[in-house]
Amino acid sequence: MASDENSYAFPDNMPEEELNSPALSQKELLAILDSDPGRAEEKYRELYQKLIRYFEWSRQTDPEDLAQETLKRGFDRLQEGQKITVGEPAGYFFGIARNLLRERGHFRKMEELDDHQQLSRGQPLFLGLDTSEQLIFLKECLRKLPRDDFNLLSAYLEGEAEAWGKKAGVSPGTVRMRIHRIRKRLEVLMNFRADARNS
Amino acid sequence: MNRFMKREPQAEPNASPEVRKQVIRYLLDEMGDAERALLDDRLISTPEFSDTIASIEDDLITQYVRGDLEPRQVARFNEVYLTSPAKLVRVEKVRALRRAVGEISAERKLHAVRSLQIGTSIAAVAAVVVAAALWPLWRRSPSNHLMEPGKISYASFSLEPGITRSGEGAQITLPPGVDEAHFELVLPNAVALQTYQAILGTPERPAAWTGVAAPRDAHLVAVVPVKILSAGDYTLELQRSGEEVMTFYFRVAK
Repeated sequence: MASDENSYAFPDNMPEEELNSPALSQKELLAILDSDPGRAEEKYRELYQKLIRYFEWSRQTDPEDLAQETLKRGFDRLQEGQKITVGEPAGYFFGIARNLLRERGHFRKMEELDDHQQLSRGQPLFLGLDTSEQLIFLKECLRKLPRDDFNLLSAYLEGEAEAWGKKAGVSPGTVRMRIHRIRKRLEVLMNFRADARNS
Repeated sequence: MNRFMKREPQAEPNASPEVRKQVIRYLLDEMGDAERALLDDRLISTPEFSDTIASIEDDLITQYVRGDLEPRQVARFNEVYLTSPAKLVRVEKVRALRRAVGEISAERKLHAVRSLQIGTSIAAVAAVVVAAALWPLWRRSPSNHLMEPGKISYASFSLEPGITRSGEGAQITLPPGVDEAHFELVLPNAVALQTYQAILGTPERPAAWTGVAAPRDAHLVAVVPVKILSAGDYTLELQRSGEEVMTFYFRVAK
């Protein structure tokens, strides 16, 4: 199945062992990401997406399953009393992710094994929507962006971001930073609306 | 090759040109195992680096969708991204995003015109003038021809099998200002409606462009950047697993 970035539904995709664990509650486990529960939840979502992307970059056929497995292993170990020794908790999970790849071995050829089976299922979809539904959904999200952000995104998509920056008196570095933030914001909007649709 | 390890995490997505080049090699699977392992090390020590990679990947996909990638990178991109369902979804997402942004831009421009109170009668006159200007192009086209207002405009052309380059062939005229040509490919019943690799070629350049032809509303559609289409004869070949499924022929007149 093609990757669908919004298929997770926090906290349901947390491993069941953690949800039912007598040792540390889900809230306590998530506190390793941030002491504020709301921000911890947000960071958990981000981490999940980052892990999916990492496995995609490693050309794995099942990036979502591997991201889930990584989180499960990480939280299992924390339940067992393991301490995070790297500075950033996300680094701890990336370490587990890399070990998962090593366990698989010869990882870079794996993706190609069932590509054609996957592609033969038809049109590539995101959010499980057809082309016209995707367009409606994206337009709903785009209309939530501030006008200036929308204009910059539009310029970026047409390869005119640098010109836009010059006109606005903004350095190329700042333009790139803003585009990065706009895309992240758009992802959040899309996730939010996808959750709303699914609920 | 210790650059990934030694550098401090940067304020993504502003990676140096050197790092960008290396990340692109990572994304296009052009790194050896040792260099790749170093990059993984960097992700573990500074996980924010994954934001940098993600941002560079977004740029790479956007460039591809715009038709702005270098030819060497296009070939590699096709090999890595168009054979992966997950990555193909990312490509299609950017394509859809670009189209959605274009449509909203067009709507807003229209709204701006109205808010300036130019008046519906003037707009109607303008529409008639535009229609009159486009009418000759419409008539010359071998197929249904659609202009989309806004930043991303495209023209649609229907191509049928069995028309050979040596025969009369389909001749298309690209109106000025159009960004994309959408080729709606008419398939014989025996050919399944599914995603194929699409390879656009000329006699001089057998793979001038490669991409996908994907089902859309019961049609198979290949979206080709117009900047690739200069006047001349073309083949549009559909492939599965590296084998030709069928080929369409057309001529571009400008």
